Amino acid sequence: MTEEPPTAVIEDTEVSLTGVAAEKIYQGGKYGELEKGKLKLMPVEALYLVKQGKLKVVDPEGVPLDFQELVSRFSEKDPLIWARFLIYQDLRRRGYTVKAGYGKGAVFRVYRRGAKIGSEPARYLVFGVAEGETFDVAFLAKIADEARSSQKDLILAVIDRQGDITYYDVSRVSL
Amino acid sequence: MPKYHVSEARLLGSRIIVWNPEDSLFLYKNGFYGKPVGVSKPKTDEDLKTQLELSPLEALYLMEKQLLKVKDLRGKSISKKRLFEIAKKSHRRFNDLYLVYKDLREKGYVVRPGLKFGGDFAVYLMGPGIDHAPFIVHVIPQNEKIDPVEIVRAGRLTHTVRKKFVIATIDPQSKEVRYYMFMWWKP
Repeated sequence: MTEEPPTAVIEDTEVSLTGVAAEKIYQGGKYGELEKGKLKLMPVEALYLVKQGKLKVVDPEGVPLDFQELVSRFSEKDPLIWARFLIYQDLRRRGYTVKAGYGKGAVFRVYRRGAKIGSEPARYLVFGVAEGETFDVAFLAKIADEARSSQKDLILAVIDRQGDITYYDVSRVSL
Repeated sequence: MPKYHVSEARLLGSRIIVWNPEDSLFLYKNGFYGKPVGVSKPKTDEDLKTQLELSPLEALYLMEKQLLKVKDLRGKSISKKRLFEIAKKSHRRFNDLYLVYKDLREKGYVVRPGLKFGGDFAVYLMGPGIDHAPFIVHVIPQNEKIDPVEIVRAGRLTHTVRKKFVIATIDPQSKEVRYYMFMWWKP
């Protein structure tokens, strides 16, 4: 018999769960933020876990939402959700722990493989940009400074029209 | 040869030509300015004793350094300001190109056109023919957005051509030139 995945509740776009299940998903800080026994998941985390069959999401009335319905729900508030999800998923599959970055934009903090979350800082700052999108010179300057001051490597994830991702290490150089 | 030598160039349409072979020799040998007309890889002094074509960037920089006077065909002096206006019409990104060109020259690099390498500038420590691996600098203007295609190209060129490909931007507030390198990263 296969074990039923734990159930989280979605309110608006906030996904959370409590109890033993919350502890289990949290497992050493790999997913979400645990506050007073309540685990809050980022939209991309919820999507990833649902897609993996490790989580079920229901609305406050108990009606389940599948992966596709969740994507639709999140995209109403965040048009970049799909790009974010692709990057999140790709890095997770490669064994990295991925957390939300600061500020707006598709920015993540990424820990090295096997990192002890909570006792060491993230190693990379990853920002995503989809083919056809552009970004400001000022934005690049801002996150490059941010990465440098927090001693992280800045990685740019470029997503092509089929969702393929290529990564570039960005460094500001003084010539 | 005198250490400080003011050369003269004539403006021909929007092209800038040095006619005196002594001036050509001086400018090329002191910082690799210009291109001797019809000589692709100058090796000897004889190769340089001909007309020298300066790019507008070079001419302006040399004028700023008081190493060059530019005149029209009748021998009337052309001001730096006037030349800048003419040059701006010849290249959409001229203003930003000049800021980067100047920054690199002031840092002591030899800065040559980089079009054939896929960027704006080929930058040498010593000079072409002396160090063989220039790095390539491409300028993204301050009021323009960065398209990821440019990053991909930069990363690709660094990876395959084994040349360093650097993107230069100008901070809109401070006007400070910033350089970024993009290297393909295996996750």
